[in-house]
Amino acid sequence: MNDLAFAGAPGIAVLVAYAVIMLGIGFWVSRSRPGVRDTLDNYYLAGRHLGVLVLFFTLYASQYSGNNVVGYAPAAYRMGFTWWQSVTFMTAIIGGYLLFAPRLYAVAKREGFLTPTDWLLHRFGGRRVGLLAALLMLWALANYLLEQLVAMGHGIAGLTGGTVPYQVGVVGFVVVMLAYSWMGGMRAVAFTDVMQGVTLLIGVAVMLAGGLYLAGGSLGDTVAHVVAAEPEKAAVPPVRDSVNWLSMVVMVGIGAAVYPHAIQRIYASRSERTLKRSLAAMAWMPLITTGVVFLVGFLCIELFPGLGDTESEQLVGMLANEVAGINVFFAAMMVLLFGGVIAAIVSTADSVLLSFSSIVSNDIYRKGFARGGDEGRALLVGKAAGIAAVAVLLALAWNPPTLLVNIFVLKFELLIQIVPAFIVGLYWRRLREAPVFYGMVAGALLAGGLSLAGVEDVYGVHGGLVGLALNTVISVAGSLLPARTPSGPTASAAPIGPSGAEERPAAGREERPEARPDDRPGGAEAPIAGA
Amino acid sequence: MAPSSDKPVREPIRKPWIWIVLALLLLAGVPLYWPPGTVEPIVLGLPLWALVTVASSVLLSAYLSWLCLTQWSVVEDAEEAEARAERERRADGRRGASGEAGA
Repeated sequence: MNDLAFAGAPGIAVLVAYAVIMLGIGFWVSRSRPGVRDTLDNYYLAGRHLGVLVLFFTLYASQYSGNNVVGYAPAAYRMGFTWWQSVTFMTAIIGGYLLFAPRLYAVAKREGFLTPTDWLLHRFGGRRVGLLAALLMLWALANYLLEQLVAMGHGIAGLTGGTVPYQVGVVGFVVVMLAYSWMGGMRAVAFTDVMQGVTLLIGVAVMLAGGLYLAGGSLGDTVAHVVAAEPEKAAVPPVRDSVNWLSMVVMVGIGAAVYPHAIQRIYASRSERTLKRSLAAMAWMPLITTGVVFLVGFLCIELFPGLGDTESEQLVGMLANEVAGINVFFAAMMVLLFGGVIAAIVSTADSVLLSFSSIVSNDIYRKGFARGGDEGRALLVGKAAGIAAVAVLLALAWNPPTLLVNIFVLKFELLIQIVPAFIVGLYWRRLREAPVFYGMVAGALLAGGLSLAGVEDVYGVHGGLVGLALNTVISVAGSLLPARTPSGPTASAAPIGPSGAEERPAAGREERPEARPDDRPGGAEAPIAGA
Repeated sequence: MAPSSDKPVREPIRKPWIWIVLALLLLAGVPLYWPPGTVEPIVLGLPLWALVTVASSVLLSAYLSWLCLTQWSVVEDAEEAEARAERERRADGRRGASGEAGA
């Protein structure tokens, strides 16, 4: 985002306005909901009371970062129609949710889960699966957060024309983010997501309108130009690229759905009806967001022909400069768009950071070091861990390590290794703790090893999926073998019905007020006992 | 929570046809079955393979949205019944309070 023609004072004004609005929302939430910081449920899950509109926007803003705009348009420019895969893989995430959300929502509500690890502790009893999954999730979240912080810094420096240096911009917005998160927890994060999501949607739509205007107003003419001038961008890709496309659909479709902050939005829903309505609307958002960003990048093939890979990374800024030159309205909208891009990065970062803190509060502190420790202290530990994580990540962002730099890009590759434990465990009663643990270790080592060795894919299939295949084989085959001791500690899939009440509590799971048998949603439904 | 209705539980994982259709839609959207390098024919201003891919995405969105709304009902009826009961309890409480105040 370098050399924006409209950078400078207007950019600073928009960023200050966004910051003030976000702080205002945090303050309003803390005043209107006095108990918002009192319990882990209220702070990390908005009291499990998010309604359709807010849940929809918080799902949207958490899943669509500013990077989806700044990074995906250049990809469409370079790859042409092949980058339509971004729409497919973002849509597939809803399919990923449908694999597990219906049952997980019911069980989580009944048992009062706070983090994804709570489910694993409940299901497998032993702590090692939960602990390993928590570590994989923390690693993925930290790397995702690092990406957001770097993007935030570049965005702020670009929009302010360098007036606000990269480091100052990041620290300033991190302070704002922490302030409103601390004031209002997930409720504040979700409400700011509404503002951030709306801004991004409007900004991207205006950018497409401006781009179309500059390209002569006809998408058909642009396609004809691309077919004539750069036919490889309109042609069916090589088989390996198509395999990679399918691999991406599977990996993102499942991987993004099991991101801890995504799972916690399932827990935070007010009701099943609320959740499914929000997800039904989310199924259309890839067409409206990544589809529009794809078109923006595709239009640029005609508008800015011949850019190299590095130059094309500045594509959104280049187009914004041209669009801003059309008239005052477009100029103002481009300032708002870039403010919106930064706000969208912040909105993704705040969700990730809140989820990171909740895992430390609940899984590492309350279930690990201080079993059943009081909630106030757990909240403090989570907040402190959030600050520490941001400090370390900023140090890494400003002094990138020259060795093992690939470790810091591992996200989906590691995160997706929780899938057998998390999803298969929901439905298959025989899945046992030991094979799941060793499968997860093997899958993470293989996926991480491939990435560190610089092997991005195997015949087009991503390393993360290769690791997941090994992980699944070990988990399933190991569970089919006769156990040396009676099967795992709980060895039960997730019944939605009253049998859940009879399950003995798994080790490490505390009795929570939400888990009283008479509170259990669906308590008298027919048991759905999986296998 | 007591059951409020005799409607069966609807859960996508228990219906194989949902996943078969989903897999077909996903595969239809990936150009594995077209000869690499093909651009022609152009239909409605787009290469046919790209048109099929875009159409698959629209169908995929519609299908997933429809699945969420119609094929998923695990605890919804029970939750709705409980919410109704809660609303009635509150309304009764308010009526009681206003009755006492009037007396």
